[in-house]
Amino acid sequence: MRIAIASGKGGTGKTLVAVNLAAIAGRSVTLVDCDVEEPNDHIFLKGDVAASETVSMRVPVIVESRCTGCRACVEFCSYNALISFGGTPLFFPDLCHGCGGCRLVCRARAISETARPLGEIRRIDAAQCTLLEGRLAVGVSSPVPVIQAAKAAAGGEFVICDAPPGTSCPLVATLRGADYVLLVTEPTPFGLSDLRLTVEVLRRMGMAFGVVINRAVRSSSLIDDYCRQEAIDILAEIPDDRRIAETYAAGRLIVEALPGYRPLFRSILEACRERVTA
Amino acid sequence: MKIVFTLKGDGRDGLVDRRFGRAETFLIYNSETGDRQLVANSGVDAAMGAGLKAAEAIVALGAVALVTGECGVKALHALHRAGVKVYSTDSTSFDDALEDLRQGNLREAQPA
Repeated sequence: MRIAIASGKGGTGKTLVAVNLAAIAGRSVTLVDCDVEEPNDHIFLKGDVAASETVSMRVPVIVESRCTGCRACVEFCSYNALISFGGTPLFFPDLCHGCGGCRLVCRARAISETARPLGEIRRIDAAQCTLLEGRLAVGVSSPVPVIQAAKAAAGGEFVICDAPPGTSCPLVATLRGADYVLLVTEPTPFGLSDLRLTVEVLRRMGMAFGVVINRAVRSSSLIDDYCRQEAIDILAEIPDDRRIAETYAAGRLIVEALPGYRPLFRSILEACRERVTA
Repeated sequence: MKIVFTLKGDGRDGLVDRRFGRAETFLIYNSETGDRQLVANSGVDAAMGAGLKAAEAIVALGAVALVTGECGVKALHALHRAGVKVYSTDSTSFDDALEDLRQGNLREAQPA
């Protein structure tokens, strides 16, 4: 079973839900922190880094002495990573997607490749479960390859992916292959606005999903109304409880510090399992 | 000397577009003859690297200098390599920007 936890808006409680679900699911689960620009699951699931590997991308190197300046590679690159003022093209690694097409179209065989480091994947053996953490290198603009590598490193039957905020490529890269998506939101106009955008993405991708309302308050039916209208399941509500905020801010797990909430997180896990096996 | 200015829309209103790669029109000003020529920026809708595409385009047009609002780091680096001077302007109209350039009031942007 592969579950992804997403939200659209930042700060709604993706990490809160992800780490507590992983902790309660136990040793059989691998949690993948796909928020590679700001991974923070490790704050809650503490442990030594058991292994780490570099994620890199093959990028072109142009041998000036062989280049005829024909522009074939420049014309080929859809991302404009290669430009030419007449002589040997200039290469801009930040725009390169590593497809290798420039090398293939070069008749002069002037292009070879080198590995450009993009980030790293760390495996942390926490007491509760295994955590795989992607970390994007400073100055690298696209997190997607690191997210893909982190997901690929996750073996086992049960994987939970903690998605980055937003609704663009990094989210899509995280969601791909998930059996079920949990959308964590909050009963605020911002929460609702970004929830709508994320639902649009999920529907386009044809994914099964349900909503968890975090910081739920009785006085607001904002999210309930929207979900009813759109026929979206609400799996659980996490109450707006100051003790949860304090525990989270102290870097501790809710399911350990506030055992009264264990049944709530267990019920979320069970709800996911039912929907995946149904 | 050909100097390129970035303009909004089709350029006929003479309004400066502060963006380089996403400006719709390049005005090529010939400093010897005073001639002005408007050229559409064909890379305006590029998904990525619009600034680099624009740098390539203005070099092909024979530009030796560029006057725009802000030029991104990649385009600035590329233009520097091509020997094109880049000037930043706060003016909203082409006439004001040209006057500032003539008076030597514009700051030349340097790659980091």
